[in-house]
Amino acid sequence: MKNVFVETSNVKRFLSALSALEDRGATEACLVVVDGLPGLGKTTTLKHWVAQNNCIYLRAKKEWSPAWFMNELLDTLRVNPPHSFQKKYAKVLEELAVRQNNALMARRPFGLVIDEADHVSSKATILETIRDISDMIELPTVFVGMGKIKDNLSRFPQVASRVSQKVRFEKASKDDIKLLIKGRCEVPVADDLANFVLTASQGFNREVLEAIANIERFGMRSEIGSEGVTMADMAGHVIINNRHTNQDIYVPEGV
Amino acid sequence: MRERSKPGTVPTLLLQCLADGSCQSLAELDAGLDADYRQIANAAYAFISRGFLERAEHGCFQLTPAGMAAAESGFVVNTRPLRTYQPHLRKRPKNNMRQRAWNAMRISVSFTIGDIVIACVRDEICAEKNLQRYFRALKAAGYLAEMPRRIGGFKRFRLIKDTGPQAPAELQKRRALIDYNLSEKGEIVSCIK
Repeated sequence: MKNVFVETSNVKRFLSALSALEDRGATEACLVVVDGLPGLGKTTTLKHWVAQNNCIYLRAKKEWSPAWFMNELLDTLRVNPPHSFQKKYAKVLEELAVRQNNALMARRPFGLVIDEADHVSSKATILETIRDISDMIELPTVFVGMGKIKDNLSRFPQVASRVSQKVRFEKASKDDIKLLIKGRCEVPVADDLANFVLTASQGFNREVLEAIANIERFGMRSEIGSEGVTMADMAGHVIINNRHTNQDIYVPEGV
Repeated sequence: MRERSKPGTVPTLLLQCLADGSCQSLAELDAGLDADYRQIANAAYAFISRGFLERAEHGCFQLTPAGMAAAESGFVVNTRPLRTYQPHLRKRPKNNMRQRAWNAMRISVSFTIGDIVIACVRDEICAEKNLQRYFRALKAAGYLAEMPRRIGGFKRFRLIKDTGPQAPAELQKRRALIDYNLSEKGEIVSCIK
């Protein structure tokens, strides 16, 4: 499989939301919520964005407390955490402000990404701490979760009102599947098989990648026509494992 | 082009030229010695590192007592000038591909080279080969651990020594890494097991 980052429609919507964040009206509204079902490429997209722009990435934990969150943030920033919470807070602000300034000078985006934010989306104390940090230095903060964040945040209007952009990762469309296959598969794939991948994967990127690996494995060791691997070529072969039933999905024969 | 002189010739000439204790500028030395300006500057740099020479005033070089003693004893330099490696003089790497790869490694629990390539590449060519070499160096220096089981035939790694935000740079000839997270001037970490 080719190691290429493919800009699907979800990625484009995420990037345009970040651009829109730059032009926001209210300066304090700098929260972004990214949510969607597992396996749609949220973490891959975010990791790509964080690695490219040297942003801060934290993975929320189930039992996070404000102090634990602060310690982890300071650890990521490579600062020895002071003892008191006030000092930790001051240090975090200082460090983040310096990084944000540097990013501004280098004209690159900067932000704090909190992955698996479902864990904290119902904890008022952490949300308030993040809101304070985000407000003080107008730091773009991206919450990434699996569909519960938006509902949970509605319980905290003071936080929800600061969410200026909401990006919902949707299941891949036909074009996305074709883009993914073209970008990552080492062998050409015919349209009928691509359509079958869309049906079998139900639009989940994780399953699509699994299908690409299987198609590639098959395509590399067989003679394939000019149009690429077709459904007829792969008839009777496993293409994906069904995530709900854990059963193998075979390409139907006699199509 | 001037013929390449035997190693140590220019430093020996420089030592003899300054043996009278005079303070001479590089331009004067260049006029008086049968050597390139750059060769003289390199020799002067090497003698300064050794403590034989000092810059008495701006642009003017004079032998130290140790240098005078060496000149009097007829010291002959018969090797290339000795230079001590000074990491702080090395330019810190900017946001290059390896820096982005390091960022990606820090935020991932376990990863294959492919995962990191996807996250960090912009338009570099031969990115995968470059990262394979970087991974080898990081692994040899004890930064990366290879996980016992492969997935889909690919080796998986885990970052076990996350020293900070600055990506350790590879010093290929010295078979080492230089890590600016460990100290301000950068610390050399050997890649030889």
